[in-house]
Amino acid sequence: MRPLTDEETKTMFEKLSKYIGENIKLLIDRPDGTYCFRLHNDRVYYISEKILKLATNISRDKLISIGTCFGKFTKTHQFRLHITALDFLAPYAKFKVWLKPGGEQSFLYGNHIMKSGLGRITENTAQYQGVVVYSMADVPLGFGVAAKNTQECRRVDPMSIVVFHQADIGEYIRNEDMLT
Amino acid sequence: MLPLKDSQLTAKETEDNIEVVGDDFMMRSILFQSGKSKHSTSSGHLHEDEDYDSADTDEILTRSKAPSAPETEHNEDLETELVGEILSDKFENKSAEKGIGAFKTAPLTKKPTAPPDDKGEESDSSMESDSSMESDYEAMMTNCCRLEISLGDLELLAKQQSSETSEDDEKNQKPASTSVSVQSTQNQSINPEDILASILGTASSEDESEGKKTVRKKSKKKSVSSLPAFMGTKSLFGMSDASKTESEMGLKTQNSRKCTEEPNFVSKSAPQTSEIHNEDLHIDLSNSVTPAVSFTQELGSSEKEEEEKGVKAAESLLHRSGSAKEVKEKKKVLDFSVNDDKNSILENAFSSCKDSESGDNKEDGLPKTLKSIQSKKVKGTTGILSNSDASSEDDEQSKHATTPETISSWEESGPSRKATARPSIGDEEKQKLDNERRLAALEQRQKESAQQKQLIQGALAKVDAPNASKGKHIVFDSDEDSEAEVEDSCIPDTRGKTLFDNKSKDIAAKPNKESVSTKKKTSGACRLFDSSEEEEEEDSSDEERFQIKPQFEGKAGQKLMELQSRFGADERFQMDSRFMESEEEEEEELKDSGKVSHADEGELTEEKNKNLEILRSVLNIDKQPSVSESTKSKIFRDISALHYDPTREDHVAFEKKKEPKTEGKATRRKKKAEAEKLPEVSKEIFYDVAVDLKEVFGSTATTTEGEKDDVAWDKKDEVEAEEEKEQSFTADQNKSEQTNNSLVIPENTESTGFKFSFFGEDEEMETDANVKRDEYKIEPLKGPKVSWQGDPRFQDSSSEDEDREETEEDNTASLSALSDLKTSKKMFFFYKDDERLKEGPCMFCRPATLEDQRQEWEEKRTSLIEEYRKKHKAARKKLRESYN
Repeated sequence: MRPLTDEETKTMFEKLSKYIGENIKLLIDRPDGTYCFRLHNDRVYYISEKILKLATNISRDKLISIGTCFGKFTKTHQFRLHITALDFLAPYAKFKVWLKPGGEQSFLYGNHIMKSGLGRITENTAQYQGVVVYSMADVPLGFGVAAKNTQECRRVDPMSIVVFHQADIGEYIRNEDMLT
Repeated sequence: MLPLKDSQLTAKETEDNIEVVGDDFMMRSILFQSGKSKHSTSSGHLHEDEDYDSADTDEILTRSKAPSAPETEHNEDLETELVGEILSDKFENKSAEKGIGAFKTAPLTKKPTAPPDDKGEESDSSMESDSSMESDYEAMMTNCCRLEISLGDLELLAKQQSSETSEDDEKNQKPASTSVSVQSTQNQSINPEDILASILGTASSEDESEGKKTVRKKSKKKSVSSLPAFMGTKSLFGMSDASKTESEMGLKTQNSRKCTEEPNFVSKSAPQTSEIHNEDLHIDLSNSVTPAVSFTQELGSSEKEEEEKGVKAAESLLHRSGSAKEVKEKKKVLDFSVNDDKNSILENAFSSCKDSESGDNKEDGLPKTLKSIQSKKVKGTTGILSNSDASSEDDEQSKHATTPETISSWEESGPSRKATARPSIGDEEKQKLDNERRLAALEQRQKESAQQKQLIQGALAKVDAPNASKGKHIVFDSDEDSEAEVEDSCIPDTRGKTLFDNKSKDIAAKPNKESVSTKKKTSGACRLFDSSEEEEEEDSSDEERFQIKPQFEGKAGQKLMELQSRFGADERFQMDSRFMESEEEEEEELKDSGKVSHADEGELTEEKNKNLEILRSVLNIDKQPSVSESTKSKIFRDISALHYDPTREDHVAFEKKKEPKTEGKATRRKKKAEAEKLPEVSKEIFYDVAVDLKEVFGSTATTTEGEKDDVAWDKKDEVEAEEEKEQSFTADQNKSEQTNNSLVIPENTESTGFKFSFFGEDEEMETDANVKRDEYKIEPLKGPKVSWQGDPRFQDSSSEDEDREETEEDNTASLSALSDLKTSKKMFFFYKDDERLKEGPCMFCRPATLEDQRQEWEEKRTSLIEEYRKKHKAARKKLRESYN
């Protein structure tokens, strides 16, 4: 477990900023305590200072997970967000997409979001903007990338993809072993 | 849909049913979290979305989300509101009693209130009212009822008790009707028949008074016993309330229990009280209100007097929330009940078919109970509050161990008793006797208390204020019963039970000398709990409680405080200054920890800052814009307030720069001037004449001035004539002139013998004049013509013949030198080897190379241009002057 290098931090922040923009600051600079990012087994964990201190008692090879896993660095040193980061992304998300009940299941099975499943969308959503996906009951379901901007979303036919799937809470079941 | 959302929703429905919402869209989940409109949101939302397939699941989700927060609230609310309800119920009953003058039925009417198991039902009703803890407390305080029963009433009571069972009810009601003064603010009447029915249904009406007491006591006990279950989650108030509610809710069960296992229960509960003494105390602490102290003191004293006078008997109270007043009232109730008991017990003892031993005990115990009660009253007069409450309550409980038994016996035998009429046997005598006894005991008790007071005061004087517990121990050490007491306190539950069992028995059988040792113990125990010394201490500790405790000062004190709080309010583990760690150590520890933490924090903050910087770079939120803004703001100045300060360097910007322009002009002028300056020109070029004018004009040097004038006059005419001739001369004339010229020139050259200085432009004129003179000498008019007309073509042809002749004649001498010229000029026609023929073609040829000519020309040109300009300027000037 080690702090992220500048390069890694930058990569991760770039990814995060697609979803929550400058609200990353709120993750780093929290009034309720010191929180930090730590890299462990190529995974980035968001940990409070207290837990971090406690974790020093555990040897590295024995430590599986600590704090909240935000995602992992791929072999090509790209950062991939995990669904476990949703809890921290959802409250700060700038651009949101709400799914109709019919579209929920499809999304939770790992599929992209069709126009037919789209219930609501934040205005001025740009193309390839990271969005957090909610159900109509405002339950965060995951996140994705807008395939089209808001205006285009209105126009396109119902079967066209409007949001690319990135992660969904179905992964908690589908990829249970992967999520740490 | 919920209005909240609607108001915040900026959504607009598109044709494809896609909502597009703004950034400020408030999500329902957030609303849920904020807990504002939990259920309404979910339900409302579901109603809205008609084609919502997974509405149910959503509901479940939202429900599952929502309840977590509300439930706790409900619990709390439930607790408090249960209390409130119960109180109100009680109060209703009370008021009803008041209305019909019925005896206290409150404890029994409490029974109908839901037992703790019915929380679920209660919660619904509790939802309605939002009464907070404080309001509950107030309500409780306002609902407090006070019963005042005179001794006469008691006597009456006793009489009535002894009377037939049919009168029992009346008896119960009578005291109330006569002396019950219920202090209440709210009046909600309940059908008295119902109350009676409930009373009769559960227990005998006679027991009601005692039942109430016992109920109260048991409720106390129960609350104490049931406390732990509630303690974990609730706050102090909540705890107390909970306990109260518990106790009150548990009345029914208790009553039922009473009927079945009275002795055990009493014995059981008694030790528990001792065990949970601390908790109880704690509750009292939480509930006790300081202002009440003085009030209760006064009240206590006055009431005591009244009591002693035998005017008033007892008061009833609704809850034992810790106010001393209530406690006192309770005591009085106890007194009353005891009296009542006394009467009844006495009767019972002789008449009832119940356990004779218990009856004896009761009878025997009476004095003691009285005594203890009196002592309690004394305590009450001292105005000791919450701490004492606990102990006094315990005392009450321990003492009342007698009464419950009797009560239980009554309850058991209630119906039968009713059925069996109890004959009144010397009631009045007995009463009087008892009263005397009681009074005596009271006095004794007072004395005792006074002694104890002194003792305590002495002890307290020695011991430091904060070490109240210590002081207590010292006092007990001095007491002979302290050991037993200590044992008591140290005895585990089981033994405690037995002990208290014994105690109760002992109390009952005090006059009996069967168990002297136990009696001692109990007396010790009694003293432990109801001794005024304790109350004194408590009184003092009461004051101390609000004093700053030095052992809790500072950081070490804080630590100590934490340690203390870990034990709860357990008096056995009170932390005094001895437990304090030395400050130095702590400081060192602090330093160490501080170093470590500082180091960690430093690293973390560093990391944080680094992250923030990276974030800035990632988001392109550089400092530059801010800096530029700041600079902008700096730069901005009120122009109107700006004054030019020549000493300031930056104000140069405000200066107008005229210099470059002037310089330009100057330079231009200079350039002009330079350009206007005449370049020096060698004048020799101009005067380099091929013809030897010296010789030409040599002859004219001898001419006179007078002739000159004539010539001038002539000249004018000649010039005019010449001009006319020029206009109309012919080739022939030219030829003749040429010949004349050629003739004249040799003459001039011959005649000239003077030096001739050429001055610019005048040269020609002068030469003309000279020539004229010369010619005038010879031939006044012809000479100048010839000399003037350098070119033979311009020569006048009018006087050709004469000129020719004259020249030929005059210049005969000088012909030899210029023979070539003469010959060339003589002949008009060209002849062979003519000079003119040679010169002529040379005219067409370049005299010099083209470049030389060009150079010459350029030089000339510049000079010519300048010349021209000069003249032009001069002309202009003249023109201006003329205009001016």
